[in-house]
Amino acid sequence: MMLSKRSEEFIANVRMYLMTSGKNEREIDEVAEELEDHLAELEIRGESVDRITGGSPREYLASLEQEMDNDYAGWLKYVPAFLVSFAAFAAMGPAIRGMFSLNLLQLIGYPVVAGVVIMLYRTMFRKMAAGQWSDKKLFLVGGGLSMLSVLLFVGVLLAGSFIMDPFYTAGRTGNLVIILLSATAFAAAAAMMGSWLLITIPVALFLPEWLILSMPLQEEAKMLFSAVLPFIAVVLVLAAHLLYEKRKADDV
Amino acid sequence: MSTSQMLKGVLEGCLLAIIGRGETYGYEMVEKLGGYGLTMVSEGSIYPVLLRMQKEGLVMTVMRPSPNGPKRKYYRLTDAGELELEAFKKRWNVMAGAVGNLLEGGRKR
Repeated sequence: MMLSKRSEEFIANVRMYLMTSGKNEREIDEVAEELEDHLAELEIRGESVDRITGGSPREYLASLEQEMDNDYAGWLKYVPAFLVSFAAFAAMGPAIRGMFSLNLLQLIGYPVVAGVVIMLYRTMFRKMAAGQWSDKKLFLVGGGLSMLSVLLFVGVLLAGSFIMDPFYTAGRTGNLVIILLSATAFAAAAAMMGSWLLITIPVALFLPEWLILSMPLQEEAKMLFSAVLPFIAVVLVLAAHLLYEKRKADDV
Repeated sequence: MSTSQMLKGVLEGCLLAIIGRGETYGYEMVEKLGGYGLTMVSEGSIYPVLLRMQKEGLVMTVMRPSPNGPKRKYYRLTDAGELELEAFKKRWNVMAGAVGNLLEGGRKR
């Protein structure tokens, strides 16, 4: 039986909230499945999700959080995959442009910024899940946060290149090795996370750029295309991924 | 204090009693509790309690297909659950007797 949109959203919010609380994945699945069954029974009788939460999703989620055990170790297993793919994302672009270099400020700054950005996103997701945000609010806060993330990363990049000299600058072979290492890192991270996105997104992001740079085009055209095409490719990949997930969910 | 709030403290014992009467699942437990006049403001509060009881080995569960969707989780008492239910009954009787005495202005111990 199909649940109403409101019920589906509630289940998604429960999952999101418990995940960002570091709860055990299997337990989250079990609770979510039971709630789905409960909601289906309620909807048959014309009742809504309010019967489950008592009208306050925030309080209900907090009570779930309190009763369920934390499983930080279970989530820690994603840390290596995250670090590896993060490093690969940061390294591959410059390596493709033949400009890979390392300096101390970036080496320290990127992980710090990544940590800050993750904490900010975690806070946003929790507030969103508990507060049942409107689409407009989600768009504004989510958009603001992604802009802030980009600014922070660009800030570290610029600060690094203006203030310090790199302690390592890759040559032709070095850049090639870094491209290969990054590609391997994406494949490994994708296998660890069990997600194709960690392969399809880097391909969408970096393959067009690599193709454009190796084509005999004028510099201006290269700059324009390599600024626009990866962006379009990523949007297409994400859309295809969402469509695929939706189909899969509808088939169940 | 509302009935719902009071029920919170003894929810585990009540769920043990309901499950002790035969295999059952989440929504049905809420209905059965309601049948005894024990209504809850937030019905979803049984699930974390059930999860804890499962971890403590008081109940065992089995997944079966349901008419609504792919899977439904059914609960049964384990031997440890039966023992805990008996212990809860004793504690409850002492408690109910004591509160009853207090409210009726009866004898002190």
